[in-house]
Amino acid sequence: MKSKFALCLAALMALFVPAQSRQPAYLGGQTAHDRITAMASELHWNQSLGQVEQSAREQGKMVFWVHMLGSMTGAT
Amino acid sequence: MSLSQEPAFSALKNYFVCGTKDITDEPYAGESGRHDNFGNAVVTTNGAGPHNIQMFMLSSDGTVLNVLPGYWAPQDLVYEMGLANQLNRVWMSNQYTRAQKDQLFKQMHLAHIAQHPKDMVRRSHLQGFDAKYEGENKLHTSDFIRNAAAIEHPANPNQKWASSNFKTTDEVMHERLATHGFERYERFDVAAFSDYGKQRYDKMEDAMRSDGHVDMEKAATIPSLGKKHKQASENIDDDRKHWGNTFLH
Repeated sequence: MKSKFALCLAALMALFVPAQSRQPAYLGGQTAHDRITAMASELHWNQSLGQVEQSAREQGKMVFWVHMLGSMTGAT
Repeated sequence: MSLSQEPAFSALKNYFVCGTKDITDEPYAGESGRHDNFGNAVVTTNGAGPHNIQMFMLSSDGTVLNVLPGYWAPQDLVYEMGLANQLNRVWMSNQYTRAQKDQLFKQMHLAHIAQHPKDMVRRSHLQGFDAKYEGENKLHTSDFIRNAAAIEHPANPNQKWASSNFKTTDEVMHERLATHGFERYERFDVAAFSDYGKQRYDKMEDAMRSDGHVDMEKAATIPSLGKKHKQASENIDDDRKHWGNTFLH
């Protein structure tokens, strides 16, 4: 798991970080909305920590738990 | 911080199960301008807005591995996910005693500071208003103060709030975590961990023009979100209770 994660992490960084450095400091509302929509369609944000932990155990994954003002769906 | 941007998005999909909690009613929650879901977004520094967002990486039994206060750039977020994965292996291992695991937790968090890429450190300076708040209100107690004398008696008044007088957020967050061992999420003191800078964080993104300048007249019409503004938000009949479009998605 460790080596696999590290390799995948390195690959992700190599693939995407150069593009990140060119990202603008400002995003218009439509672009931001499109990103939100794309993320919400692929990542489910459960509001029950118990359910998230159960799913993580079943899938052999860790938990990413975000505290935030307001809701994740739609915008931030 | 951006959860929808690569490489963070792929890492989230591949290695984590995700969840979220609205902290509007929590005593440690801050305030922000309220933004609809077609609002603009701006990039900010790592650790900006610590009262408004905290990101936990937990083992599947709810044990805290790593925590990031405020926003984080996607590449830096993934870097911290790597540490969470290493700590998860320690926590799940049968070869260490509990005391050894807690010692490793502290050591690995502190060691990670020195491993941070220079670009990550550069992205982690305190926001100017947060640095000023720490210097004016907690000069001799804040763990962000690197050089109190230079703030108190600056050789050049223009350098009073220079970033070199302050530790960076990527340093302090690991130092704060290193005072903990492995502990349950429910026992983690979020208020103390995220306690720095001003309570209100708002870049006024929705009043920002494409040239980056803020239309102050428009900004004045945007309502706030947060504990003090909960009642006002509830009176607005839509689902747009969002805050700070600072590349969260």
